[in-house]
Amino acid sequence: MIDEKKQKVNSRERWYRLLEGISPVLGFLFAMVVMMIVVWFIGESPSNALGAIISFSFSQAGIAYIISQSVPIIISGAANAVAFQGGLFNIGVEGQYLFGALCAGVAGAYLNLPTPIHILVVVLAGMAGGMLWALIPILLKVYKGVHEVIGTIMMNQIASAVVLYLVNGPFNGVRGQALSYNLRTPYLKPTAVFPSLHKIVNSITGIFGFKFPNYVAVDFSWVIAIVVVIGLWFLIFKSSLGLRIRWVGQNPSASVYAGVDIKKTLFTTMMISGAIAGLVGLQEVAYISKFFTPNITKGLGFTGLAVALLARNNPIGVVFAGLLFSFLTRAGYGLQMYTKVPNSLINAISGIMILSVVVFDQILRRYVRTLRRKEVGQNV
Amino acid sequence: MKKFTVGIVVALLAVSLVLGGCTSSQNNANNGNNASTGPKYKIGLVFDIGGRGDQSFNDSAYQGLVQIAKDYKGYIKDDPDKVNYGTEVELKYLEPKEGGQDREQLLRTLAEDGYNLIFGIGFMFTDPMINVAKDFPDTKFAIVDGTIDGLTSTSNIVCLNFKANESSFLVGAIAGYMTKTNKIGYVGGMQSPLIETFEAGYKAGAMYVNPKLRTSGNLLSQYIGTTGDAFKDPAKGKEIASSFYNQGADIVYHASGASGAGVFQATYEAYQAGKDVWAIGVDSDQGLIYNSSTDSQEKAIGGRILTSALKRVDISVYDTAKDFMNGNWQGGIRNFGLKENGVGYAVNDYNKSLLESVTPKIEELQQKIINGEIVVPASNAELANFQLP
Repeated sequence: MIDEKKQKVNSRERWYRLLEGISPVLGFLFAMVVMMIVVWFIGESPSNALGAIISFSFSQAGIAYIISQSVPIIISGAANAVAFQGGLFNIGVEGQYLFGALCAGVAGAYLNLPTPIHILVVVLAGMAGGMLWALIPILLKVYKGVHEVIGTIMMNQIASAVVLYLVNGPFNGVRGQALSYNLRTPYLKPTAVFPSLHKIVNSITGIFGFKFPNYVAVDFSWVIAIVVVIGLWFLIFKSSLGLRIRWVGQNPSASVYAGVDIKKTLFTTMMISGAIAGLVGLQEVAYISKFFTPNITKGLGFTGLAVALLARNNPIGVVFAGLLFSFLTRAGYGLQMYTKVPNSLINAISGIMILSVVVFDQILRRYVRTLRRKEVGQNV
Repeated sequence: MKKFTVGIVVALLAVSLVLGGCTSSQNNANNGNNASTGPKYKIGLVFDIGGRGDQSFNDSAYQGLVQIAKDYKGYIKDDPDKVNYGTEVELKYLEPKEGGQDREQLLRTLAEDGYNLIFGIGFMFTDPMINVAKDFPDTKFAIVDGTIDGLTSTSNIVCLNFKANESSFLVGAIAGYMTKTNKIGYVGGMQSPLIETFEAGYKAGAMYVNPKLRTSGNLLSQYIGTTGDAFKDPAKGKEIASSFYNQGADIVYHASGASGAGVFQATYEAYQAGKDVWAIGVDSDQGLIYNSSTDSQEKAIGGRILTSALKRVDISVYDTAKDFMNGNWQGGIRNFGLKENGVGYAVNDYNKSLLESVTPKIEELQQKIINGEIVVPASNAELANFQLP
């Protein structure tokens, strides 16, 4: 009798877990439906739009681009996720990666070091830049109680101004060139440029008949992303520091009684988040353009917020959420290229898709939670 | 963790389902394309971030496409305005969302899709274009405002640049003729060799036509700053222009991007205070833009814009496409000056009557520059050696 009941509960629990697991996928499908309705309103045939997205995104080059362009998004998502785990809202990833990228660019352009060490120094410089930019807001929070959202937003503004000043001033790489419009630092020394991993990666994916084209960035930043994701997963779920971070994030007052130094933990969390954030721009600086410019891709920090939200702050989940967001960008270009959806609406469409994914996912999870509560009530 | 593995499996299943379901519709779409006879030429264009509607660069490039469509019986694919004059030339434009690999991705997509000539609008396309042009030797590429070293006439890239000193010379001459106080001003954005070409041309034009401006102190000039921010600092622009007007200048030319709004504001305020002062705009026909505004304040400001030094991105796009389709492709660097109609000064319905008295003289100067009788200086150093009549 009891066994039977237990079994019933187990099967039900499995069903809940399945529902929770697929909720992002259902959210994604829902988003696609929303997208097609919008497209239909514009006067383009939804099947045409879907065909365009799929043929453009799931071609060999399309998949390669999606994976490659997800690298900065994944790193940014990880930076946001660790902050969220520790109960911090680090909206300053944007400024942290901008400054980190500048530091990396400067370290790569001005230092003279042998290859492996130089690359390591570039990576460390990026991390240091990100940490430096996270330092002031967290000190303000820990010692003066200034909310980190205010502190980090302020630092975002300062970052764009400081970066512009530094690239115009001491680190200008285009002064004296008559007709160069692009404000940038000098080119990185060849010793600092990230090595390409095409050969290694293609020798593995070649087994499945897939090759990354040489124009898609397959570089050392992939290794960075993988190390960040796996390292963060171990840190959060398998280390005592991770346990403290999660305690503070879930219930600060209870963790005081458990003997956790809240200030220290908050500080450490923010430093980890800042260090990861400093790595976001490295693919662009150290591999794609090989210099730092204030015109570097913007907004990755904010994309990372949505990625972390969708991944429920799980580092492994961040990978899939990052791939999804990268896919949305590529899908947007597919729409631009092969349908008559106006460009101005495509940004709105990907915004709507992001929103639908996140909202649908949240609704479904809440629904499962209510079901669980009901069940508990019944059993009692 | 279990949740995620389950999630992934379901995701893969879902994707494969969707994929399977869509192949049929996709095939239909392809068949539809093949049924109609293809266009003779396919010309693609990638805007810079900001895209259509910026009332400047990108919009001007778009006008170039419209002109191509008109003259060569073409159509702009997927265009909301439905520009369609025939099927001989297919035109298509794209717009990047971010930096990184996005620009290269779009150029490459167009090249892979068989576009014969591809434009990139803005210097940010420099590196992406070099990469893509290498992989598609039979496709032609053109970059507006970019400079790429090592190109020859057989290269498949052409850089389209503009002789801003020549248009500045003409508006300088207009200012020289029209000034009543015999004192005029110039507000530059970021101090750099590029922006100096505007200054040198403007001063040369003013001095050429008005001997009184040759005495020092009558040609006021000042830069807003030494950083890129100088192009978006209207407050400083206003401050400098106001001080020029207080010193007795009555015409101020600006080459300072968005800071120019402050110059116009200062001009309008000085005008309201009873001074007969004018401003000169830059790059696009700013007088027309302000006058066409629905905002009454902007309209009023538009009334004090004498003319603008124009940079005709549309002409550069049109001419490059024309030469390509006529089989006269030339790689390398191509400068658009007065001769090529690539720069000029703005005459519109609002300032036509204002400029009536000087227009013949300006046209004459323009002819002289085109003939090579006047060589407009491109820097302050060249200005010092400039031959005045």
